[in-house]
Amino acid sequence: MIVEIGHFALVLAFALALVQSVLPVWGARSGDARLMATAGPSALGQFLFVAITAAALIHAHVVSDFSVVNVVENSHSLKPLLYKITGVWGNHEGSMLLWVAILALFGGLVAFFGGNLPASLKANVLAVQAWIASAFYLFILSTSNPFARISPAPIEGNDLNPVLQDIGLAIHPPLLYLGYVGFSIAFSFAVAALLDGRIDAAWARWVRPWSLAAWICLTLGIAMGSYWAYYTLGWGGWWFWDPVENASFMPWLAGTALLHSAIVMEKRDALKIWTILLAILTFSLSLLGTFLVRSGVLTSVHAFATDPARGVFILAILVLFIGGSLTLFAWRAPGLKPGGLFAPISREGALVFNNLFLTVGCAIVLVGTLYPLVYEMATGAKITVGPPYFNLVFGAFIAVLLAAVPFGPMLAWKRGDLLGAAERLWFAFALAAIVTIAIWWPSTGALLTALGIGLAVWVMAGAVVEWAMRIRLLRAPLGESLSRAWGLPGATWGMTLAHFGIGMAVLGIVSESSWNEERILAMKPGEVVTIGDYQVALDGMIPRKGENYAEEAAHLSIRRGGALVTYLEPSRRMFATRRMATSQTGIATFGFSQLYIALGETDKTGASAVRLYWKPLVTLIWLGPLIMALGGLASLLDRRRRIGAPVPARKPVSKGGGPKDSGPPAPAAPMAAE
Amino acid sequence: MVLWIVFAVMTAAAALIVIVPLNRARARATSGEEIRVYADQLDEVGRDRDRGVIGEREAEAARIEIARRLIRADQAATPAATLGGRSRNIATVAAIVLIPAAALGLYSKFGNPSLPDQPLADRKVEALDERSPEALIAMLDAQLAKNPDDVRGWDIAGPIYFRIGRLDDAAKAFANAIRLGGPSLPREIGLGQALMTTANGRVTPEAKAAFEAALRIEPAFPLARMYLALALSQDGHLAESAAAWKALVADGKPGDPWLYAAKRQLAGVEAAIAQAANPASPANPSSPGTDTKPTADETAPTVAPGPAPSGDATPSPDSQNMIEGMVTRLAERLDKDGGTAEDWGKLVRSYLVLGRKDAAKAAIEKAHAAFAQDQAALTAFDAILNELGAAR
Amino acid sequence: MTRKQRRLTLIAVAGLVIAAAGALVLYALTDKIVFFNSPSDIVAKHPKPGTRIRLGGLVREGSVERGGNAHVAFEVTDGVASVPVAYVGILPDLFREGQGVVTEGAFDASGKLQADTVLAKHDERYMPKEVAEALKKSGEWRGDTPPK
Repeated sequence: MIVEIGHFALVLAFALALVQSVLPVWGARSGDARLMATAGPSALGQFLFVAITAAALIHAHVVSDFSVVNVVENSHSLKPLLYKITGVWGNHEGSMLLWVAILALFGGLVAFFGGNLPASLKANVLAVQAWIASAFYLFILSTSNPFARISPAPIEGNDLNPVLQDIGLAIHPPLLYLGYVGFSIAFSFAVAALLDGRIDAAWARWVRPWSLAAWICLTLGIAMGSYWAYYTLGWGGWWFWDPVENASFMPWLAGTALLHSAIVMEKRDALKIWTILLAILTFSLSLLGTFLVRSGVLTSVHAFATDPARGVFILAILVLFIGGSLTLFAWRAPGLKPGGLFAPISREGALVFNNLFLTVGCAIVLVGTLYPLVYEMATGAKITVGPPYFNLVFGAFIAVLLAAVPFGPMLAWKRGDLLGAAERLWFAFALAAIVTIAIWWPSTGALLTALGIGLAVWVMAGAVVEWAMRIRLLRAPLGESLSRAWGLPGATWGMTLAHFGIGMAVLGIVSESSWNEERILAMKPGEVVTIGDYQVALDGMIPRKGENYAEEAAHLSIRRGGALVTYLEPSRRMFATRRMATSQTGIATFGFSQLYIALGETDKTGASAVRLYWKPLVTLIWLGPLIMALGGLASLLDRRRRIGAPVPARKPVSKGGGPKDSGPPAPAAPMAAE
Repeated sequence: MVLWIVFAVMTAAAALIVIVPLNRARARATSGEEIRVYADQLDEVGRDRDRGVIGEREAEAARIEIARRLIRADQAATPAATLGGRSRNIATVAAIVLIPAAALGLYSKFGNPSLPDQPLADRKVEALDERSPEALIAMLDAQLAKNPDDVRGWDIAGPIYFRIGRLDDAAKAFANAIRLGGPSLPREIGLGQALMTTANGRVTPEAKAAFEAALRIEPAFPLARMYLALALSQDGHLAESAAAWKALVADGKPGDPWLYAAKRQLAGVEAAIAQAANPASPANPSSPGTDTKPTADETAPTVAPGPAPSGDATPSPDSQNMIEGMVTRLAERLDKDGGTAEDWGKLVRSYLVLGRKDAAKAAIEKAHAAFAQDQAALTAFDAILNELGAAR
Repeated sequence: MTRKQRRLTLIAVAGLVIAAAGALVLYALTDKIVFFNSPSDIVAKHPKPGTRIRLGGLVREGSVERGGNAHVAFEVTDGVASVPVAYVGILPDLFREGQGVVTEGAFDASGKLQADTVLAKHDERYMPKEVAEALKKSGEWRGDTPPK
């Protein structure tokens, strides 16, 4: 009965979404407050029913109800409880349900927290949200129904792919979807504004927290997914430029651009039309990502579903929403009022620069991801666009952007002083130059590595210098600096942390790819191998038994200079139901670096294939995004509404502070988040 | 019935969610939210000025800009929304009619209201013989995973795994049975055969140890002696091998089914010795050792403990023949006289168990053709197939 | 600067960046892409040693040889032709004889593919699309049961 209640709740959610698609828009057009007022309760009700649906499906998985096809195909009675639950979204139908559940969650949140929105805007936003939801409910019900039944029920299920039986599956997809789908709010706001024909700085103020929340989740989701792939696949790789990864990375790039341009719109009432377009594009890329992953149109190590019939449906949704919103944009945008003026060298200019490079970077990834498809359609030959393309093209462009990052916050709104900014950044530049030369000099040749590390130091030091100036570190008594630091708005902290975080990530990436040490060999018990500063000894093999697998673990002791540091136990697991093996890597973290050991097969002579890596500073690759997300959170929690103070025309304030304002450099107008 | 009451309550709730706000006496009809945002921004500039974050001049410029936006927003503010009457009624009726109609319409298309939940915990009582062999094996796996110290389970599992070709698991099962229940003839022989079959017929040192252990239990056991003799010739100890075979032949009584195989092996080994002594002969001296298949197949029927170690783990030849004979008779009968859905299902299942997928497919097609006129039988047959297929 | 001039500056800069990106993309897309081939393609085309290619097919039964220190040699087949592959490293968990595999690397002078990447199919029910299609073409494909 519970299964059917869940199924009926899904149908009801669809019915409510249909009502929510029509009544609020009708109300907004005719100015009828009561019709508009249906939007909020409908959105909340929709979320309630989807929550019932999700709970019913989770229940079916937990009690191993094999009369549900989805449970048969993806579960097994012996699977540990955690993976019975996470297995719900470890498959196509379940993950689509998660998708709409998160969509409904965001709709519900807007309904709940949107009290400060004008009624017509709120009504339109929720209606657009319901259009998207309706399309996906229909998709789920007609092509990917998780409640399809089978009778008589088989006695046992096929089990979840063992690769997915990992704590990573519990966290990664929900976070990623929160990010992906969260950008639907920005999209709905954009379409609602176009329907209303009115956009202003207040719009950006309302849309920014939602974009920021989605961005935080997407940042964490991508980083989490990268770490999951790193420790679970056993190759030590953390980013493969796989189409599925690109599918989540493109909305991130566009979303990051959106956050920056929304600042300009909020503070300065400029870049309005562009911001609207970005909001549409960001969610369009999310939809494209959903299409690429869910239709199975691309080959990829991640694709857990391949069914072309579904692809056509999602493609139709894609065309409808992207085409529809862009047509609406082309129709309404020319009628919108252009925004405020600014000089090319100014905070606004810097943010435009940021947007230009982020969108171009996004386009580069898009071309690389779709080119194989287009090429195959045109010529029939199959090609792969892999890391060489992305590293070269994307790397080159993003390096230019990163080099410019420290300048942005140093420039004043409306018109800035590039020379002055450069002067204030001399310390960061000198530090970066010293580091670059120190790396390059002893081992001439690794120029790219040296420059990469230098770039990372430049970005991080730039963020610190900007922060230090703001709190007058070393220029004022320490107590004053501390109280200033305390008084800094969350949005400012957010920007500092996020910029510092991206520098950390770059440092990790360059260090890992340049100084990664790798040893592959067959080891027998008693053998010792040296990697990095560590001696790794294989003490022996231990057979073990888990709930639904048997494993063979290698017991390895790690010594440094003869002294025992730690033990590692990488293993190979054999899952009986699917007759599949997975490998569990052994990872020891030393500072920011990691020793990474994966175990291969044991041959007839008793020697086990072992892959050892020494990965210097590798954890920064994920700690960086963590810090960035933390910055996003700081900015999100900054409830004070801030406004950019422009420098009055024709009276540029001398750098270092005028007589009245002896504070930090004039451009220290309150910072935009980010 | 309860289900439909729940559905009715849920549908009513969904409709109310829409109807209540439509008919609330005072709907919220405010405006000026933009103005509030700009007022907040003005406050903020003042606060920043007070804290010294921005200078007086910047603050003034910011105030002017915000004031400009504020005036613009004030002019553009929409007139307060009205409370429509007729549209409200239309919407109310639509909610009352459309929500239940859409929900029930879609649900009747996709839903299965008559199917109860079937959590696994409630289904343990199902009769064993209704299940497919695959399901039984899955149950065995589950049982052993849950209860790895169950000797009886391992004793049952060993020969079954061996028969379905899960050789590693078979070897593990026999080894576990020995570890938990001590050595016995069937266990040691089973272990040795599983190891040997895994190694494509070579008697590995581990397999040898198992056969030797079997001989310690019953020193004259012919099968173990045969495998050990085979091992000797595989290792190139031809003279010792010949001696072992001779001893076996000498111990055999006329009528022992393995006697013929032993004699043939003996002849093979002796021929190899002769060839080794005469290097001019081009023959391969190791051939008798690798010639394991006929030996094993011929000896197997005589011994109870385990199935024959033929390369592709099928049931032992004579039982195989018997089964195949039965299956062939069944197939012929069905071809000629037709049969019930259960009969056809039995045939398909038998082919699957025998590993003859193509024959199974052909049988399915034939059954479908035979039931083309009989809808009820067709449904029953497909249900059987489902069961077979789903348990896979 | 007037509004118009500013807009022109912006458009010029943006145009420049986009043109640079376009040029770089075009260069990289002619130079950095890797073609996917089936064993039959390889036999027909004889790629030059040193060219990077992707090779997909089934691991030929009985062809896997494990040397010392994680050296592996095997053959990839589509039922019509086979191509020898050498690889150093740990094979993916799902690498098995008779199963789908995609390898990437370059041919050495002796016609052996020196692979630096070996991807196995990721799931019992999932076969890399490119492999499936190449197999279908060569007639090895039999409906939805994975070829063995």
